Amino acid sequence: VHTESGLEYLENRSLLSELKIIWAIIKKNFKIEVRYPLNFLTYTVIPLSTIVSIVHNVFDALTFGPSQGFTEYTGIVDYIAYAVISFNIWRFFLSIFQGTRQQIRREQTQGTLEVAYTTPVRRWVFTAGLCLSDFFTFLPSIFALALSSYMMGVRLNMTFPRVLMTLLIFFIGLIGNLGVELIYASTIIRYKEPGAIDMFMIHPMIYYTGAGYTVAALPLTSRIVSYLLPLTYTFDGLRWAMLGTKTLFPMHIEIALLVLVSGLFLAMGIVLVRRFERAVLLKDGFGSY
Amino acid sequence: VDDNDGAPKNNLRVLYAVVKRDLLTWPRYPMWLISVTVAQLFWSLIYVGTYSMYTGPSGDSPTLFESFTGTTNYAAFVFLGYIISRFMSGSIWSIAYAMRWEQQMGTLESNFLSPTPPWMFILGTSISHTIESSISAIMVLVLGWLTTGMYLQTSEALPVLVIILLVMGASFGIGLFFAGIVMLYKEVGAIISFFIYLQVAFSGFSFAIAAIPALWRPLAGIFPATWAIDGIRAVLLYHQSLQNLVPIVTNLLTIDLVLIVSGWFLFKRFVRITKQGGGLGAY
Repeated sequence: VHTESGLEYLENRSLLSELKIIWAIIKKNFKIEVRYPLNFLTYTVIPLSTIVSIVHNVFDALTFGPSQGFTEYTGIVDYIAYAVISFNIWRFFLSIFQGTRQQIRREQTQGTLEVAYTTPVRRWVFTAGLCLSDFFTFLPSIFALALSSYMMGVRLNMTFPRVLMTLLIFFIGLIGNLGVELIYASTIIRYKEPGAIDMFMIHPMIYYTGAGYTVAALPLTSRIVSYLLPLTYTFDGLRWAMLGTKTLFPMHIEIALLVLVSGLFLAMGIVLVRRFERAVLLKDGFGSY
Repeated sequence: VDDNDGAPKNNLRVLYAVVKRDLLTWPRYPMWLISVTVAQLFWSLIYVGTYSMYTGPSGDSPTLFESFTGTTNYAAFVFLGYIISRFMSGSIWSIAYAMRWEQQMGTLESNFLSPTPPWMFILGTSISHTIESSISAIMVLVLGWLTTGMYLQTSEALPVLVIILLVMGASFGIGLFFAGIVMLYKEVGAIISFFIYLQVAFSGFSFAIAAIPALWRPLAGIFPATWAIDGIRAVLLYHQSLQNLVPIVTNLLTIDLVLIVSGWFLFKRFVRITKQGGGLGAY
C-alpha cells in the first residue's frame, strides 16, 4: 500500500502537493508543541522570553541614549522604537533557525528522520517543512508582541503602501531565509550536533545582517559579507517600511537585491541538502546521531 | 537501593565519571570548538556593532554610556559581561537539560536506581561545564582583543577565580531547581529560557544598570549574574582594590547559599513527587 501510494504521489507531484506536505509537517509539529500546554502558553501565546528580550534591548538603547551619531545613520530620532522593532523582526526570523535545529535534531534522536526519508517526498521539501515549523508555531505570538511594543510607546507607520511593502519584504525575506535554513539544515544532518552549528551560523548571521543596527555602522570588511545576505536587506527594508529609516540603497534596488540573493540562497540550499544527504548515506546513514 | 556504600569515596568516583563523560562528549562533535570561540566572539561583536551605530559615522559622537560607566572601553565592558552571562546561562541549560536528555534516552530511570544521590550527576555536569566555559572565556577574550583591540587590567586577576567559583555555585543551585522542574513537567524549555532571558536582561551585561528606570533596578540585584559581572568588571576593567570587592563577593556568597539550599530542597521534593506519580520513565 505504501509503495502504491508512493508511486501515485510521484506521478501527481505538483507545487501544490509539495506545499501540502510542508503544511502537514508544520501541523504535526504544532500539535506536538500544544501537547505541552505550559510550554506552549509561555512560548507562543505570551512569549515571555521574547518580551523580556525586548526590554533588554530597550535597556541597551537607554544606555546609549539619543545621539547625533544614531540620527546620522538612521535618519530618525526615536531610538527606542528602532530597538524594539529591530528585535521583533529578528525574533520572527530567529524562530526559523530555532525550528530547524529543534525539529531536525528531534527527528534524528528519535530515529524518525530515517523513516521519513524513505517516503517518496523530496528531501528538501521535507526539510523545508521542518525548517518552517517553529516559525508557524511562533506566529500567534504576534498579538502579544504587538501589544507589548505598543505599551513601550512604539508607533508604526501604518499607511497602506507601507503596510503592503512590509508584507512584501517580509514574504521575500522568508523565502531567502528558507534558503539559508536549508543550508543550515543540511549541515545539521551532516554534522549532527546542532548547538555548535547553531552558534556557528546564527551568531555571525546576526552580526553581519544588522539585526539590531544598520550594517552601515560595520567596518568595510564586514559590510562586504553583509551585502551578500538576504536578511540584511530584509531587516533594512522592514525598518524602512515600519519606521521610515534610511536605507542602505534606494528601495527599488534593495528589493531587487533581496530577490536576487534570496533566489540564490534557495537554490544553494536545495543543492546542499542533496549533496550532504549523499555524504551522510555514504558515511554512516541517517540513523546515526 | 537507597544505601550508598562507602559514600564519599564512591560519590567522588561517580563525580569524576560524569565529568569525564561530559568532557569526552564535547570533542566528539568537532564543531564544538568553533561554537565556544568564534560564535561567542560574534555574539559580543553584535553589541559592539550597536555601540558603533550610536557613535555615528565619525565614530566619536558622544553617547550616554560614557557618563554612566566612566569608560569608553565598551568592547571590554560587553565582552566581560557576556562571558559571565554565557557562563551562567550555559550552566543552567546544561544542568536542567542533562536530566531531560537522560529522560529521552531512557537512562534516567537506571541512574536513579543506582545508589548514587541524583544531585551528584548534576554537580558533575556543573563542574564539566565550568571547565568548558573557562576555556571558552579565555579564547573569546583573546579573540576579542585581536578583533576590537580592547584592553583589560590583568595584573591582579586572581580574584576572578573566586568570582568564577561563586558563579558555579549559583548556577548549581538554579540548575538543581530547574532539573527538578524538568523531572516533573518534562518539556519546560520556555520556562528555563524565560528565567535565563530575565537574568540576561537585568544583569547588565551589555548595558549600565544606572541607565535603566529606577523602578527596575532592585530586580537587577537579585540575580547572581549582576554581582558576578560587577565583580569581574571591577577587577579586569576598573582595576579596583580587594577592599572594594568585599561587598560584591558578600552579596554573591549570600545569593549562592540561598540558591543552593533552596535548589537542593526543591529538587529533592520534585524528584519525590515524580517517583510517587510513576513519572520517572515517562518523557
